[in-house]
This record gives sequence, C-alpha cells and structure tokens, in this order.
Amino acid sequence: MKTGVVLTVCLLVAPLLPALETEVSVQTTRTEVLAAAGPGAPLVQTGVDDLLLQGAVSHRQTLTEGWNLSGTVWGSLDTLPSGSPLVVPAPKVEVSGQILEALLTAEVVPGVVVLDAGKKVLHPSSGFSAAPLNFVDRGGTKVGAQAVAKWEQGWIQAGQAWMAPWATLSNSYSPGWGGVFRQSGWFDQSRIGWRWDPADFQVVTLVGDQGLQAAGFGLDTGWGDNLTLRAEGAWKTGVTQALAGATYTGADSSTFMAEYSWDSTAAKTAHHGFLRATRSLDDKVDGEAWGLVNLVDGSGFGGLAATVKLEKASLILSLQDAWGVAGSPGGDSPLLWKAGVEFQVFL
Amino acid sequence: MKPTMFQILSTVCFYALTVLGAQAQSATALLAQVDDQRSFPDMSFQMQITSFDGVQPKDSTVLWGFVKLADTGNKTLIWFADPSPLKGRKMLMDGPTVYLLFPRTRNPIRLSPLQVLLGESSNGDVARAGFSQDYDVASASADVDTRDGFACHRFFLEAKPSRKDAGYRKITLWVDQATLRPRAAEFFGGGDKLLKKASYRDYRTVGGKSLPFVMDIADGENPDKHTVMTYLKIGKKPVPDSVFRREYLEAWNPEAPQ
Repeated sequence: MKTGVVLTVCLLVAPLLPALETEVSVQTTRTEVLAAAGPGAPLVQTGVDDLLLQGAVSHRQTLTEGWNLSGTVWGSLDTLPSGSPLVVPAPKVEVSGQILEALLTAEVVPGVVVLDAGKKVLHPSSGFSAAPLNFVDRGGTKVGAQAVAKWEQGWIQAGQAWMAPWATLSNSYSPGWGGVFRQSGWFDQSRIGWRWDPADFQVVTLVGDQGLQAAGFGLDTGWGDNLTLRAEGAWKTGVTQALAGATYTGADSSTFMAEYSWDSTAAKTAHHGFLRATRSLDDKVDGEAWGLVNLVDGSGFGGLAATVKLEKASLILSLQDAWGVAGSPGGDSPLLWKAGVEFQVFL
Repeated sequence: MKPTMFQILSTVCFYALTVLGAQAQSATALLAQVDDQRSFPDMSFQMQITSFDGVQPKDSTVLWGFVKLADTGNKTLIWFADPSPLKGRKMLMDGPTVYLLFPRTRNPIRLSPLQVLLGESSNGDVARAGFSQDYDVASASADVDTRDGFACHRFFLEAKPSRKDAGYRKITLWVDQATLRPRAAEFFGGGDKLLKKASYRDYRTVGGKSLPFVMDIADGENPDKHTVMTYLKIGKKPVPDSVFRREYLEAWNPEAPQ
C-alpha cells in the first residue's frame, strides 16, 4: 500500500519534469454480471461501475557510451479493488503501484554483445489472441485483443544477448527472490532467433528447479505486401499449445486478422478461433471489431471499439459481450456485457 | 531471288523486337540512374509527415530515419519523435519486411509495408529509396509529357515476377528529361485501380545527390486527401550494419540526425 502511494505521488509529479514520458489513462466501465451476494446465494444480475486511473512514467538515460538506464513505474487508483467485476467487493478506493521495468544495459561489444541487469519483461510471443511462447507472463491488461499487454511487469533478471551474423542467442536468469520481489523459484529462459528470408524463426526454452519446464518454436513471415503470417507451438509442463495466424493489410489501411489456437491438457483440448478487423473510419477515428470463439461449442466473447485520436490524447469507447449456451465457457461466463470509456493522455 | 513475304515479315519483326528490346534496356538503364539519385550511403534524415483534407492540416508526425544501402535492398531505421502518443516507437524496414517495437515492450512485431503511417503515407512510402529494386520497366513512352512545366519521360513499371504480390502492381512514373528527377508517379493496385498519386518537389543537392525535399501523396480517388512528407534535415550519419536487424531494435539508442 505504501509503495503504491509513493508511486502514485511520483506519477502525479512526473508530468512536471522534463524528459520523462508519461501516459495517464482514466477509464470508466459499466459491467453487467451474474454475481452471488454471498456464499450459496443465487446468482443475480448485478451492475458494477468502476473508475480506474492509471499512469506510467518511462525514461531512458544514457550514462556513457554504450551504457543505458531505463525504467517504467506504474500506479493506479481503482474503485474496484478486486480488479475484477466478477468479484464484487465493498466499495472503496485502492491505490497500487509497481516498478514495471528498471534495467541497466551495457553494450560491451557494439552491435554484437549486450548485457543487462534489472527488472525486464520477457515476452517473445508474436500471437495476439494467445501467446504460447510467453512462458513467464506477468500481469498486464489487454483492451480487446492486442499482441502487447499494457502495464506488464518484468522479472528481476540478469541477461545477455549475442547478436551473431547468423543468429541471436539470448538468455535471462531470474533468481527466486521472494519478499518484495515476489519471485517464487528461479528460472532461466533462453532464446535463439534467426532469419531465413523471408521468415524469422525462434526457439525458446525455460528451465527451473524442476528441470526443463517449457520449450517452444515460433516463426513470423510475410507474403507479399499484404499478408503477415505467424505460427507458434509450445510444450509446457502438462500443457501443449499452438497458434497459427495471419493479418491482411489493405491499401486503404484496413486490417483483417485471423488466428487459430489450440490448447491441450490431459483432461481436455480447446480450439479457439479469433477474428479482428480494424479500419480508419475518419482521419481521427479508428474502428475495431473482434471476436474470440470456442470452435467446439460456438460460445465466445466479442467486442467493438472506436478510438478518437487527438493531438496528445486518445478517447476509446468500447463494448464487450459474451455468448453461448449453458455449459459453454461463454454461456457460463458471469459477464453479460461491458461498456467502457477510456481517456488517455500522453505527456 | 526475290524475298518471300514470310522473309520480309520475319525481318521486320526481328528489327522491331531488337529496337523494342534496346528501348526497354535503355529505359531500364535510365530508371537505374533515376534511382541512383534517390539516396546516398549512410543517409540520415528528420522527416515531417502532415496529412491534409484540402488545405486543412489534420495530423502531423516527425520521424528520424537512418538508411543503409545494401545489395539485397535498402534498410531503414525509423524512430518516432513526435507526437507524444507515438513517441519512442522504433521501426526497421528491411526491403518489404517491416518490424515495429512499441515502447515498454521487448518483442518487435511484423507489419505490412502497406500499413499506414499517417494519412495516405505507408511504411513503404518512407522506406522506398528507388523503383528498380521491385519494378521492371514494362514500356516507356516515346512522347514527351509535360508535368508541372517540366518535359518528362514516362515510364510504365510493373512489379517484378518475384514481387507480383506487391501492394502496388503497376506504377506510372514521370521523370524530368533534362535532370532525371522524378516529378510525379501514380500507383495502381489489382485491377489497375489507381490507389495513390505522388508528386516530388523542392529538389536540393545533398551528399552529391539531388533529392526531393517534399513528396506529396494523394488518395487516388479523392485528391483533397493528401499527405505531405517533408525532409526537415538530411545528413550523413554512419550507423553500423549490425544495428539494422530485428533483435537490435530493443537496444538501439537513436541520436538525432544532424
């Protein structure tokens, strides 16, 4: 709580300081859910309003030739302390904050060997609706469906990257520091990435105190000027995941994305399809529609969003819905619908 | 012995094909000369891109760019300097391959060269340093065509067989006869649909090359919607080859072009 307060105060002061990149977001959502008033109570439709103020401040400082310090702190004030409208808590304001990244980077051989130490996001997947190669995801939120989650928290680690002409080998070792670092168990993530025109390939492995915990393979490629393609497959302890996707970009700036993901455990196998279309509706307005469908029972989630682009700000209007018959993930989801308005300011 | 009609036709066809072949060869050589004037080794630049609806400016973006000429195609590094919602984005354009790294992320994602940067300008429009890399000269008009008061050659370009999937299938290019400076271009998509029109203005000599400091790209259907790409600065800044790769984007620390 104290950390959150300190970080939030930092966020409020940051815009007054030059050379810092600040992003502030105010978001209000109205969510209709089926929630129980107490243990054993029947589910009833409940409307939940949430007001969320978030901010992040980033900075990159060159210390000397080849040495850089970079970091991002994030803080939030939330009127829905559970962070989820599906768990309705007593009304109160919660202040929280995190150092998302804080990294010292040294380019010991220019353009070839880079060492780093500190808190860093480790996120090698290229998938939008699913990310099989993200073995150590940590938080972050997605509005709709983006490949990149906002406000994802990194891991305390020491890493190196060797950019050989034929491939890039990188490795991150993260110690199992508990307490304030909240890292239970050490891990070591390695990645080999190489290009074989026109495709980029990568192999990622994760080793922990249980031995090899995950391994995966991914490729990204393009086909002409219109299509980008991606495929990933990963084995994690007890789970196998795969993803294949394509994005078509039209000359009129519209994009159409389709992804298929497969997730298998000993108990069940899930197949999901994902579609997303974006288009500029106006010089200042972008529109987006997306849907994530369970291909077995047809249930799913979908949304519409419009982003109004201003000079140093954006206004995002969004609507999200769930559907499906009883017994399906979408049908059983307590979420009925959700409407949101978000105002982002970039300083 | 009198030549037969077949022999006469064969001879005429042979000469006609020889002349046409020589013209195409000559046009290809001319296009290579045109491209040679479009950039120089280790070129760096600051570019402002402003989109207009009529005369009313709508949006503006400032980029820093660094170009590396390579046999396999030019490579361009871009850093978004302004406005603040885009500031800090890093982009690598390696031929038709485009990678974008968002601030506060670690994995560059792959984009299409057709992805719009701003208004009518796409990633490819910023990175394109020449035409002959992706296009062959299908024909060249023997007539002189005047554009903006300049007597111009007109080249009809078609995507090379290896680039038949390019976003622009055909380009008509007007090149100043006297100086070989591109003056205008029209870009066509599938079905010969006119997608964009471009004009090249304000030529200045930098690094021994004559470069258009202003490129105006208009929508093919609505010329009131247009985007002006203006070089604010062009200089020379050597950047190591190793920087022009996907994995290095994360570590790249751009310095303002001089």
